[in-house]
Amino acid sequence: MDFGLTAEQSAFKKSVFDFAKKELVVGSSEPKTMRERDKASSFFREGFEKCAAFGILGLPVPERYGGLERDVVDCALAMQALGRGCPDSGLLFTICSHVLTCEIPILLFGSEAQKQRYLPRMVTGEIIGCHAMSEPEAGSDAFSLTATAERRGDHFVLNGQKTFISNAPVADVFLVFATTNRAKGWAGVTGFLVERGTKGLSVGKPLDKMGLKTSPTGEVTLEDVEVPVDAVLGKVGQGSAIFNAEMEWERSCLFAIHLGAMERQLDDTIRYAQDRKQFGQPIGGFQAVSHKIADMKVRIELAELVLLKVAWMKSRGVRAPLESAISKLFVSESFVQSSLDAIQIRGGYGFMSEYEVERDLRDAIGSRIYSGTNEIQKNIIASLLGL
Amino acid sequence: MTTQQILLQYFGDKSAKAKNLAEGDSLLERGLLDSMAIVKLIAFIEERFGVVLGDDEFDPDNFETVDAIAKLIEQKSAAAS
Repeated sequence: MDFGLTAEQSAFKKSVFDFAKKELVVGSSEPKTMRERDKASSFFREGFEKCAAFGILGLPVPERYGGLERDVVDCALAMQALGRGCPDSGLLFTICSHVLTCEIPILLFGSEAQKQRYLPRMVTGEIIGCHAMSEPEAGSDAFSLTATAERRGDHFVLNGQKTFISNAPVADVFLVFATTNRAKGWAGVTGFLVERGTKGLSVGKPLDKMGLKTSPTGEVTLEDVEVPVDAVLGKVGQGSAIFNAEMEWERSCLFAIHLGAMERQLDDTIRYAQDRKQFGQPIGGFQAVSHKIADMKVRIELAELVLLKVAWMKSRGVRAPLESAISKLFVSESFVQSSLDAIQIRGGYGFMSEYEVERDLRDAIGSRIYSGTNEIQKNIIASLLGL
Repeated sequence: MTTQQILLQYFGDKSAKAKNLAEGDSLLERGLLDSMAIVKLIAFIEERFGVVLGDDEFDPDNFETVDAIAKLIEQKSAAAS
């Protein structure tokens, strides 16, 4: 057993952190600052393009498609470093949606033609991907979706409504899940790659959210959308397999950005507790404050262990449904609690938007919900324990 | 026990719906494989038979019947050895 990173992994992680600190905090055009972008719900496209140039968008993609061909552990470490160095969790969420829920499915299930068509342009950021699964009446019960795909000769016709689709307002390629046979339930769910501009596919206005406001989210409507048979990702009926595979990636790498954000919170909070004086001494000297900070550190340590365990298992080709559910649950709950602690330690300053502490809490709440709610994670854990 | 017998016992232990289940019966039509049940089944297969299933093998056709699952396991075991 070895809990340490290799020298190469440490150097890679540091290079990503340095890049994020230097390039992903302030933009060159309005709205420039994170606070301004958050207020305007503005997608930081410049940051997205810089991440593409650095190689972030191609982290897990083989070199032959222009990627860096890193394993799951390296991907998680990179996301952790981004989360620590970049305060724009919305930007990082968009990147994760692009990489983990669109590139990864294409990589794992796509035909060679699909890989050639999409991956090189996704790696360079020329096109943005999104993942259209959720529906107004199919959230946690994802496989009860009602969007349909009807085979007509050499093409399929898609109809349905998707909601809460991350990246939809800016996406160029949509991984749409629809059922080819409702009677088969999960076994009828099929993934389709649909390109923006396809007749009948429309995207609603960006939805206004509580947090992750710089990550564009929208509704997608499918009205008699015709796609060729070769737009099917994998095989007909393999949608649930695609979904389950990508969720394990998401529950490790996506949540690594929140682990990084918790590290940033801790750095900032320690500094604050050392500088801020009340009753004639730094507030870090009061146990009411220092114990909260100790709790923040404990959460980070445990979150890192469980998250990297999932990444380590996956990098060895081992399925990790139980561990990824535990990781998702623990990291997200930790992020919420540490965000609350960071605010409470700062008192009134924490409550003010100007000091940029409350934004983490707004971002953290979403982490309890996406990638399967935490209640669903507990169902998965209990079920895999034989209950 | 054969692979089929082990799988029939697995389903029998999990659900009353598996009563009189035959190797060629559709598991989906018998209500024995929902999206969670298949995750549990795969975990069982990997542990019991010492095989690792790739993401692309998580395919409804491979899990249609006990016979189909047994065939997949035997192919994986043969490839591994």
